[in-house]
Amino acid sequence: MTPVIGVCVKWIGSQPNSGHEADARFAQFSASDQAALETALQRAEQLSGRVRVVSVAPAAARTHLVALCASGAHELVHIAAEGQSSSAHVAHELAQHLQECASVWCGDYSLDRGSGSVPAFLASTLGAQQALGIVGITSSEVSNTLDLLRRLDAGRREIVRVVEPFVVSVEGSLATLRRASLASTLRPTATLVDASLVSQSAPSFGEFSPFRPRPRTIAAPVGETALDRIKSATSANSPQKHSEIVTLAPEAAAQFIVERLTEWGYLS
Amino acid sequence: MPDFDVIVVGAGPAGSCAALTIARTGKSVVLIERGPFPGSKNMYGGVVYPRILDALIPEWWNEMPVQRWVTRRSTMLLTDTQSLSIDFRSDAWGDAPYNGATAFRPDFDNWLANKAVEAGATLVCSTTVTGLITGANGEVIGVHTDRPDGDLTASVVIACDGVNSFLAKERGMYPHTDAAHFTLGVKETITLSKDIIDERFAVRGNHGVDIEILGGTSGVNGGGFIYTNLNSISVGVVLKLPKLAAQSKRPEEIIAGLKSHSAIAPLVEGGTVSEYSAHLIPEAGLKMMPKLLDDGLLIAGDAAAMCLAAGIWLEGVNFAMASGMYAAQAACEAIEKENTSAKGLSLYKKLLEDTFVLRDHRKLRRAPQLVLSDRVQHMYPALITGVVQGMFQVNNPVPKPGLRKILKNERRRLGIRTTDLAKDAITGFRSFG
Ligand SMILES: Cc1cc2nc3c(=O)[nH]c(=O)nc-3n(C[C@H](O)[C@H](O)[C@H](O)COP(=O)(O)OP(=O)(O)OC[C@H]3O[C@@H](n4cnc5c(N)ncnc54)[C@H](O)[C@@H]3O)c2cc1C
Repeated sequence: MTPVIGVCVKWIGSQPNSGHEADARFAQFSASDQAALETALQRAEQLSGRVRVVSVAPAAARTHLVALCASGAHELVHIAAEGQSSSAHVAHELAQHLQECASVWCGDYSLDRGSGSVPAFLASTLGAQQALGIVGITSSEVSNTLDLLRRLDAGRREIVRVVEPFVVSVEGSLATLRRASLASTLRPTATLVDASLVSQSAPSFGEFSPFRPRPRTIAAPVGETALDRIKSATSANSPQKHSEIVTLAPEAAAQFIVERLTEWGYLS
Repeated sequence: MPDFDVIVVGAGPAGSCAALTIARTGKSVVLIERGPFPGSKNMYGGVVYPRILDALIPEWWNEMPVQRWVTRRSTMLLTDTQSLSIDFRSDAWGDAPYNGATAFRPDFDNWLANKAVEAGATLVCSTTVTGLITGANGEVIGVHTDRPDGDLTASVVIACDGVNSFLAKERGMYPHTDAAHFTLGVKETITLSKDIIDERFAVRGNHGVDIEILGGTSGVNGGGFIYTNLNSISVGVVLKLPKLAAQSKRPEEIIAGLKSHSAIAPLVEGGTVSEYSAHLIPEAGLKMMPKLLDDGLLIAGDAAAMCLAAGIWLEGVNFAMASGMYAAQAACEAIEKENTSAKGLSLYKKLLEDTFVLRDHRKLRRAPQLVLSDRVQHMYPALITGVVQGMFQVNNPVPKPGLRKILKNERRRLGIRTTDLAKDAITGFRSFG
């Protein structure tokens, strides 16, 4: 069976924060969405697969979606929606058309600087692995496993391994979208699927709240004077170390972190 | 079989009118534009005189994206410390069928190109034509573009690629190009509220003002303009290239100088510059016009130097629309007669000769040179304003001096020779009379 590689793009009708009303002439896709498409096209070439671009977008986006797909996408699924939807809802709608995709590529930001959470909801809906902030692909062999270079804060990087099915969101620097040929610009070849929303709201993903460790009961500080009690409560006089530098192999390091978090009450 | 009957290069006013005219005959036409959408790369001062559209889009005024209808036209002479305005207002220009309007190019060009698309033309944006394809006998049979597999063929190519047309130059249609034939147009769009514009320019509703200025360009030969949009005004200068190059001020400094003139400052003060742009103008009219057609190729609009820049008139868009339309008519006739050689396309020349396009250029052929000459630029504004000041200055002379005397004194003061004055008056009369 020909593998289908999914790409999700978000169309933005006008420049973010411009204060102007949406104007289709200035519509764009973010550089990271374009990089996602280019990466998917390259993967499709490696796997002899097909690229399916899926977008929840208003009717005004149509010509821009078609022009984007002229770069080589095989299918375009345009899910018509005029208003704003939540990330969870958008992901739910996109997922309807990405079920058979072993990999789905998204940009890690849209031009309106949304929350960037659609890929996470999508991965959850598809039961796929997820990685975000991808700036490079380090594995070269063609397989269902990919090693990806991921950005971390302060310019650091890490390599994450994802196994299909996966949803990744990439940075714009990962790839530059190839220019569409004149022939495909004049006569678009991507199969166009007009789709409509399957539901008017997002399915429940449960309640979300920030993680807070449970409160622990600790004994009242002891001491003659208030100062002594403060010292006791803050462990100011204790020989206990407040930081620890260890050098461990990755697996032992992960184990070490889990142990410490458990000891401190963050994990039960 | 060529890919299209006609390829039109450039979706400016010339190109879109050409594509619209061709599409209406049922012929296949592709309109290729380098910008992401028509009008995205284009700038001008701001006033369109769309009468020619009567022939293409009946009652265009009901749908054209207009900022304001021009009901007031002023011509202003400036010296460093004086200004003289001739101000005309016509209420008739504020009603259908109208005369001129201020409009933004991204709106106007996009609207016009979409008219061509509605009529059946294919519009391809973000695509630059990089050269001409020639056939076995040297005739033009298509274009190269910057896209992969980017060659296209057609029976006729119409180059509407604007001033500095690389296609016309590639084909050798411009025998001589000279920097003196061009001016640089520079413009600031200044945001002001509608109420302030209405008050300062004494207009109401969607009525607007067109002010053409002689002088105020920091000694560089050229001119200035101010046009009112709905919530902004366009303030700009056009500067003769060799004169601009021969001095040290930058164009934006020259606009700043114009804006600080005591006659202009009250009009612009408190505004925010929201856009700055610059573009060349083919200023020399008939004198610089290229060969207009060749085997398989027609040149229209600014690409063919059709812009009429003659002092009180700066009309390029209407000349571009008309020449684009006539080029299209000639192309269609040639295709129907299966003769797209230069001879087969010669109807284009005839249509231009028979209409205002070349007639105006012929009549005004001396005007650009006269208007940009040193005397008109630097001496006559001082002469005229000096005479007016002499007439209105009240210092109780006995008796009040007559006009002839004031003129004579001013002419002497400025060192203007009577023969030069007479020569320029004759040239002016021949052009504008
Ligand atoms: C400062 C200034 C003020 C002016 N003020 C006025 C005014 O108030 N009123 C008036 O009537 N006229 C005015 N003009 C003149 C007017 O703008 C031009 O005469 C008119 O725009 C010419 O139209 P056009 O279609 O021939 O060329 P353009 O409007 O220049 O359009 C050419 C089109 O071709 C495209 N193009 C160019 N090369 C290529 C290529 N290789 N491949 C694909 N596409 C290409 C361009 O992107 C552009 O869209 C002014 C000009 C300037 C510079």
